Amino acid sequence: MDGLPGDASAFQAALALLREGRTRDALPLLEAAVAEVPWHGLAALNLAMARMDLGQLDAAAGPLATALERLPHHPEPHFRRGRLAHLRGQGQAARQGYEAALVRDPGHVAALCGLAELARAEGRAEASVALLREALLHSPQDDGITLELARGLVAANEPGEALALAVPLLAREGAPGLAGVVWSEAVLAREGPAGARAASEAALAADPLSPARIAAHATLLDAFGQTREGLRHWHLAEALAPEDVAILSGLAHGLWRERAYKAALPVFERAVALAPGERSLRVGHGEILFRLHRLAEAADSLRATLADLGGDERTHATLALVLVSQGLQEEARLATEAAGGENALVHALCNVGPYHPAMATSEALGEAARALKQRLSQGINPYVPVARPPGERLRVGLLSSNLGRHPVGWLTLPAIEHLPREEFEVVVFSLTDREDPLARRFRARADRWISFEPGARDQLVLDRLRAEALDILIDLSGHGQGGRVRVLRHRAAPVQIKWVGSQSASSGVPNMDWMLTDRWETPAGFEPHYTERLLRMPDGYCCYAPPDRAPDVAPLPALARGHVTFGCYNNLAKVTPAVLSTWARILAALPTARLVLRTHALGDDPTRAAFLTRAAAFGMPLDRLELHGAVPHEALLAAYGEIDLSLDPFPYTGGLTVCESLWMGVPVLTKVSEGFAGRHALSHLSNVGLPDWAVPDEDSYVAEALRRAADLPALAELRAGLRARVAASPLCDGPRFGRNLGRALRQAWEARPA
Amino acid sequence: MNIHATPDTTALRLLDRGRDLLRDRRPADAALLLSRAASLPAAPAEAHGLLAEALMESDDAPAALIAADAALSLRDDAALRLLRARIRRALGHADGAMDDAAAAVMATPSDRDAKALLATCLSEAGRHDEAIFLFHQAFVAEPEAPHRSAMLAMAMMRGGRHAAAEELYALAHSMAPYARGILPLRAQNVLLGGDPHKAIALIEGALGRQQGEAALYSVLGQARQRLGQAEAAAEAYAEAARLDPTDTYLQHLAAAMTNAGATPDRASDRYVTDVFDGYANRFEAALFALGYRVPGVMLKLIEGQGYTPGGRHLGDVLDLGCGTGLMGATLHDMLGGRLVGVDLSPRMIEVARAKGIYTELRCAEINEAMAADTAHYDLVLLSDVLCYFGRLDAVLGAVAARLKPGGLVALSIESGEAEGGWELQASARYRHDPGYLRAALERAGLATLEFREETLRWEGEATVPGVIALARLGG
Repeated sequence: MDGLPGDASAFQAALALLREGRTRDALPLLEAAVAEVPWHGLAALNLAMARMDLGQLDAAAGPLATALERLPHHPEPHFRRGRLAHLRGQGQAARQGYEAALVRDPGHVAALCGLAELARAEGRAEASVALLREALLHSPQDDGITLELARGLVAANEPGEALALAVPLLAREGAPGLAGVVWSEAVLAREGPAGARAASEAALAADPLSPARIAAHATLLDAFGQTREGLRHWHLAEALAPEDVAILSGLAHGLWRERAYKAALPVFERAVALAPGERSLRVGHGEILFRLHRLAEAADSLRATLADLGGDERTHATLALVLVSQGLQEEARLATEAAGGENALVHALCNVGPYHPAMATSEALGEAARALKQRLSQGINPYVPVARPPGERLRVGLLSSNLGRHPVGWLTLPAIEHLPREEFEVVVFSLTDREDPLARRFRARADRWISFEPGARDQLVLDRLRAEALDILIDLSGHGQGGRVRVLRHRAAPVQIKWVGSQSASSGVPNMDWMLTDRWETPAGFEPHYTERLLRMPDGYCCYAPPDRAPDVAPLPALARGHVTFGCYNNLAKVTPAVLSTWARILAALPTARLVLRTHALGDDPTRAAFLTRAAAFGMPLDRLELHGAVPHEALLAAYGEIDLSLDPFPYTGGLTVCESLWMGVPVLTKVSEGFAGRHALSHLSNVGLPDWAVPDEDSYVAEALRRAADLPALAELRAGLRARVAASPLCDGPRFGRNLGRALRQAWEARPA
Repeated sequence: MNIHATPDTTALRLLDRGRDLLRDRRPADAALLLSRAASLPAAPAEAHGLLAEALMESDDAPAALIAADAALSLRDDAALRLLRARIRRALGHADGAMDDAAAAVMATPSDRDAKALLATCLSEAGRHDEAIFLFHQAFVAEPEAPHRSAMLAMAMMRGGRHAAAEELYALAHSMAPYARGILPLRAQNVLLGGDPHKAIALIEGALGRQQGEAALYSVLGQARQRLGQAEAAAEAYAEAARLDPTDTYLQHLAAAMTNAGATPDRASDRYVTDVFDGYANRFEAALFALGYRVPGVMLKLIEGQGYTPGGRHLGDVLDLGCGTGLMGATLHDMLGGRLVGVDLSPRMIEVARAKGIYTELRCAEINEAMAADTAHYDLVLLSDVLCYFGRLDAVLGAVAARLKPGGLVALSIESGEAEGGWELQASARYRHDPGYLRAALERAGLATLEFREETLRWEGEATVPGVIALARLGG
């Protein structure tokens, strides 16, 4: 015994609680024991262990160092040091810790398992198997080791032996879900898909209430891309074994794929509580909070994951998404840099860069596109065009997860509807089927509709795309959520075109031949900043379908109120420090004017509070600032009745938001930037004949806002005629756009490489 | 690790989770959990009842019926009765549905949904006054709910009270201007009431305000057709078919109206199945209401050959396109051998089976059924089925091969002049030239005994001319 404290009661009581498995209750007692006798090695070790078991890895490091110092010959502190490093992705330090533990106790089973896990991650499957066999000699009854060994054997191409281990375990009553998952991996490796399915169905028929068998079946269904049926079985498994981590994880990820975020959240929470060291569950939990627009909690959760488990690409990249959505562009840039890898490039091009003033220059975006293209050019899977009898019609594929009530839907539907049918056959590849009036109209125009289940493997998507023998493929999702533009680097059609759908810059995807654009988005000279060739439409680059149930245009509110109300209903991600200070200048010059902001992120209380602090720092008069969270679409449209003039953000300008504002009679003042997303508003305004509402810099933005606000009769007149003007403009002229799109597609087709 | 759960907690959790999934509109997921709950020993009625609900919402009415029966065998209560009434109605079991709905109303007279379902059943059974009475009660209890006035309107419409229906539809429409479904019904009612112009005005007004939907264009097509504007009708049907590509009936109508290009020489199997499956439970009532007289005339022709009830028997009979068994019921007094029915529609077969007259019923396309058959028959019936075939040689040749020497065939066609002998009509059925029929019978080795040109039925204001004929193999 080392450094036993005078009053051992707190420590002894803590040990008693630990023996009962009441780790959380033991924690304060251990903390008290360590506070009282800081050199108490065993108390420090137990405190470190308890914190690690509760997922508080960051806080475990201190007492662990004490334990290492005080108990140098004890294997456990060394094992824990290795484990901590392992959880944080530090392989070398992890190995040292495990080996030090084994020097002190050659039968330290957990250290052997840790080394095996490291070996498997490094692709040394045989070494991993040998270590696990050794561990199993010391602890022959341990199901966890048996399953790890089975997994290792699958990796080492020994699925037969893996099955021999998994089968008896699975046959036991109360077998863990993980046994089913491992069994399904082994059976799939040995029997192939058809055999595995048959084996699983037979096993399930014989034992219909075994959670492990059901988990096995669900894992197989997920692997086959039948994720809906897979999710059904995860639900069933969870009802039968609600405390099983593997099953909770399967269910949580299944719900996530279905975008059932609300339902997924509590499942992730339960899974994380049981396995706080499991990174995929921790990051998943953070991302679900983000999808639910609980931004501050999402950021906290991801930061805690970083503190506990250290950094990795995915955790940082997810945090970057959250931060940019909170309007913290610079913080998001730092998180993007920390992430590195492909995620950093995609973020620079798409999710973070276009929002960040310094990252959104033509140069920076072009560079990011080229870097991504280079990275994605590795391992390209060769494309052989499928020969099909030449027909008169060109076969055009649309790849999207957004064909419905979504900006992509509103901005492409009239074009697709009016694409000349006698010349073009339309095949839709839907990555997420939607059920709404817009989605029905897309379905009505499609000659064929091919749906993918959520979570379909990339290879399946590619094979299916290629099987259709397309002439032209248009991507309508980009790198955005649910998009698969990355798959197109392998090429699925002789001509590939990027169009609306996370179209904030060049796609940076190899083999993407064209970007559909217009002369305002990409004037002559912009070519070097795009990895695609520019296919310029004669009017705008997209065509707006106004909603059929929009409220009528309301009279100019300033006439009744006696003061001007500005508004911006764009994402908070677009509201940069420069935007805030520009708006502050306008409000300072017009002491009665007000500004209304309305977006999802402002419905999140902490995000909104932080935003107010920031706004005040930039000199915004908070008493004249009105903040609202998201409202249903029709209410959002009606809310344009409350504002006189829309102030567009920059460098990422409004897209659909501009169209909606104009449709509701509210003109939009925009500052033009260099990137594609910096010019959406310019394109739309030019197409409705209001190019003088687009200005080149912040000073003219302020001056123009003041000038427009000073002439209420002119604003009222413009407002009264704006909807009719927009309706009659090329922005809403589906037949015209459809014809022109047809010509552009024909042009791209003729220009294809022979 | 999995904690061993007692069977009771497992059962309870399966039920809870199943109920949650059902509430979250994931009925297929719920059905998997609830089927496990219902398979446990001593599963409560609730497990079967929830399973029935989940299956019904997953569009598996036959399985839902089994679960509902199981639930009701354990506990007879109003909610389960109401559920089974819905299931039975979906399956076309009109009488059973009405019994269950009535039981639910008697058990809980204040349940408006039960009352509405009973009223729907009554309305569909043609008991319009009772239906209107019940719908009216529901409407008065909840006058601000647009669906209550719409349902009362529907009952009025079915009862032929179009003016009253229009008032109620207009009320429902004003309360829910964007609800899908009310406007097409309202226009349909106006059209049935004899005012195609107003129907068109209603639809075109709506199309100016909202996106098109298949039902609107479908009614527009009917109204245009009524006014003799064939081209405009064709356009409307084509638009309807475009908006709802899954509706094979609309596809067929659109093809029929355009009349252009090569028309298929036989209606697609899917089309025949869809139309009649949707229609099965009201088929006979509709036919009689339309003045359908093929069975009666056929009976006369057959009696003319010396067969009588209680006298000379028909022998073995093959009823091709037997539908709900109308011909079987007409002839059943003079059968004497086997009566084999063939139809493509499983719903039709079910209704025919319920009559208990047929020795055997086969759900098959009739050419395939004949090809698979090795028996020979004394009489083959082709009542109102040749209108789904263009060219007749193959089918008549196959019929001849199934007849005993001297055996009879009784058949009907819709007739009219047709270049090439047959053509597809706007009604989506084929009509045949009488001369073509005579020649086709002869080519098949069938000697004509009777050949009556008859009015088969009325459609709207127009009559449908046809031929009902009797022929004998080998003269």
